[in-house]
Amino acid sequence: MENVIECINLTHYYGKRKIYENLSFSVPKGRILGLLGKNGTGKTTTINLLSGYLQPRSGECRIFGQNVQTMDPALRKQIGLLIENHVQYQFMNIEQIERFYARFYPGQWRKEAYYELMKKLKVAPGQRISRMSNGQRSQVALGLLLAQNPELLILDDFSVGLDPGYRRLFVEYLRDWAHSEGKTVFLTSHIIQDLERLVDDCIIMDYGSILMQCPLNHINDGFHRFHCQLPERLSDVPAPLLNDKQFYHPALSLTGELELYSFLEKDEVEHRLQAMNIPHGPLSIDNLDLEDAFIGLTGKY
Amino acid sequence: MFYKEWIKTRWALLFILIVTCGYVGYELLNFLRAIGAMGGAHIWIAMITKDEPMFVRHLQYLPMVAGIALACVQFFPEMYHKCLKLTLHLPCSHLRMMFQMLGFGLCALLVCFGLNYLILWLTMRSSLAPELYGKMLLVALPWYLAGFAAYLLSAWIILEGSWARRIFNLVVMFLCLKVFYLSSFPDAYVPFLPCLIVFVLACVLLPWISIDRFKKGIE
Amino acid sequence: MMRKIANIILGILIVMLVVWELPWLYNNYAVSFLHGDEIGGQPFTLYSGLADDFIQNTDGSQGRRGVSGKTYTVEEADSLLPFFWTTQLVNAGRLPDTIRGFAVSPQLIRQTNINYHRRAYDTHTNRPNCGLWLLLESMPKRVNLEDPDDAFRFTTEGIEFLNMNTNSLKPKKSKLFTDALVKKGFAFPIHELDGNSDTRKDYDEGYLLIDHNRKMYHMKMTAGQPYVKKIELVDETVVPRFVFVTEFRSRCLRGLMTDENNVLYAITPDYEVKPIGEGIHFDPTQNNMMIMGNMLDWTIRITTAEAEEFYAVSAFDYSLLKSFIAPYGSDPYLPGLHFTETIDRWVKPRFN
Repeated sequence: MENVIECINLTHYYGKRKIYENLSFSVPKGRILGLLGKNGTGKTTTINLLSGYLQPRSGECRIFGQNVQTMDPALRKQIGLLIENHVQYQFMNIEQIERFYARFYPGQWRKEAYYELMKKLKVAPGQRISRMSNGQRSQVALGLLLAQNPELLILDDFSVGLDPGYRRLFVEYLRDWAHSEGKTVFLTSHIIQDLERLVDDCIIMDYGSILMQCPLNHINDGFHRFHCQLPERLSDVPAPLLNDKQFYHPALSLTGELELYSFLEKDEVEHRLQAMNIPHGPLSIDNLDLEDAFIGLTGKY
Repeated sequence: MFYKEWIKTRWALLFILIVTCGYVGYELLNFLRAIGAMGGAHIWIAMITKDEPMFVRHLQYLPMVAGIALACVQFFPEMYHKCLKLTLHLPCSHLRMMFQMLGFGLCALLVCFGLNYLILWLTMRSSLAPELYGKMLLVALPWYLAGFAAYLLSAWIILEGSWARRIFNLVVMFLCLKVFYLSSFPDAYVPFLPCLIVFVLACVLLPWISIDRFKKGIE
Repeated sequence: MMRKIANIILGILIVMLVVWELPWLYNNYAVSFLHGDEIGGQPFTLYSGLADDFIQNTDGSQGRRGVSGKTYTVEEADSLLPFFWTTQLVNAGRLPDTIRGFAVSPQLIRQTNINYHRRAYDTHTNRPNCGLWLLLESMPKRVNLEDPDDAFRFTTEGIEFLNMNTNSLKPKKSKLFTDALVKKGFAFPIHELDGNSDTRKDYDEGYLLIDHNRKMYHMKMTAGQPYVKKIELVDETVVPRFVFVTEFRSRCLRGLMTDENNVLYAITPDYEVKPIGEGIHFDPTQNNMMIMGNMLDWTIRITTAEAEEFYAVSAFDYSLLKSFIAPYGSDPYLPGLHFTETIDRWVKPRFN
């Protein structure tokens, strides 16, 4: 499948602080990919690199096969960008902003898509964007993206500042439109439930590298939490468990309950615990939502 | 792009136009009152024999303030929450977009300042010889060039992302604008005008340095 | 590419600002602190015909010193410079009745003393000119001189008078004066002129002119009619460059002239042109000049870029009596870029 986004051996520092080194990933055409990670792992850095507002220390980002830094300006017609906080020109109203953007996308601009969304907004026609709420601004931003009808959308933290109603509206509109038109979307968000409703694939970042890139259902279907009571009072998680890469962030509670995260099946987990000579009670398995899976993969603070 | 700049700046431009033309009108009122009270001969003699800019003195810093004000109105919204990213994301060459934005501001100032000049010229030519009203227009010319320079240098400062660099740019701007106000002796700048015009034209490229740094993420 | 050009422009700009501002800061704030004793020109200096010496105010109220090395008390110096310290001597009862055989009185001294200041920035090439001048009536009906109601300009073909109240041409007067000039051989366009249109003076001498062929003329308005006199030079090789109207109370001169070699000449009331001090050099575009004179002698002080020059000349025949050149010491000022100079009114970049 053709890759719309390709990042090859990206390395970036802020001063002396390394964000990541030799990071590589790609986003196939027609997929909605979410970028997850804790604060400071480089999500916004990656978005900025992709949108051309940051120059990597080394490596390159390519969109539609062209280096982002030297991209043909006309190719930007096919890239829709949503900046964090749904930033738009504060001094325009909804009519003015549509009229302004329409001139840059002749032949592809869909005015009706924009105004269909604007009908849901309870704003006066001449009301300036500076006088709108976060949610209303997000709808204006979404409407402009839908009207632009690009092949690729890059959304930086699309859910920040929105109440659940606007977030749900945003997610549903975006998902339906992307799937129906075969668009590629690359996005980040701190609200993982929204990502879970929206994305097809995800990239989970850890400090300095990518922890995992896989389809969402691989995590939903294959990643579980296991817990069991340990009869022996242990002060720490047994060392063999910590060293086994198949288990993510094993933790021991004060009451002696062991908690494990893994892609392994229950039988396999049992088998490994016995092989490590760790006496334990009956093993329970929990299915996880994306947020729990994320915490399991990346650990609690 | 002109549409966006117009929406952004139209009320500010109207304000600048009213204030600058108002000041010019005020100076002309003084001029006409002086002619009426003392007679044309007295005014001619004062203008021929005195070494100071008469009837345009109060305009000295006005174009500079107008240029700075327009740059603030035009470019602070671009830097608010980094709206400039939206502008730079449009499917146009970045350099062309910068030239269009600056071109809009320069043209707006040209219209404003041109109107000032027109009002001065139309009012004074009936009472003064060309040598005298020409002298007044030439006295004011470096001040109006300072207005263009102030606009371009302010854009360069506002578009810069790093505060340390902004302060450095501010010092450079202050020293550059000082050159336009070294002497208020009438016509003292005549041999220097071509250099000043070249300098103003060269300043058009300075905001590109800030935009380039913005694109690289330098803050 | 554009970024490179922009950075080059910024680099050039910063270099120019540094070369301008750093020397300016040093020269204006550090020099007087570090080299206070070295800077500053010569003290007030005046030639005394009685002592045949230049006397300087070097010691303040303690005394005076002659350039020859002699020292004088303040009272002695007052007596040696009676034409300058007249009021002091009158108050002390020490003003003599005769000085070097000439009978004097305070009124005569006041009448015959001359004071003339010429700064380089007053010269027409060193400052902008609006191209309009004022010609006063030299024989007004009332005692005081009056402001005219017209101004004049020179064109390539003649002289035009403009009514200042109506901003219109005065064709009759323009033709009258143009014809008067042409009749005397004046060639337009004009090369140089000088006059004083201030009414606060005892009399008006009009204008001294140099025409396109470098011939000198004197023009004024007498009872509304043009007075034009061609000033002939005995030595035809002398080419006038600048002229200056003096209008001293004593009427001892019509004016001054410098030629292409910057030699200074006096234009006498009889329109004779005589060199001053056997060829004192004065470049009006570069130097300042001050003349303080009395009925017997003049002290001419010329300030150049290298030295201050003092000349004493006879008031009768302008012969050189004494001279004294005081070169400047080492220059503590840093060279740099600057836009203004003390010798002219232009704003333009210069480096020295």
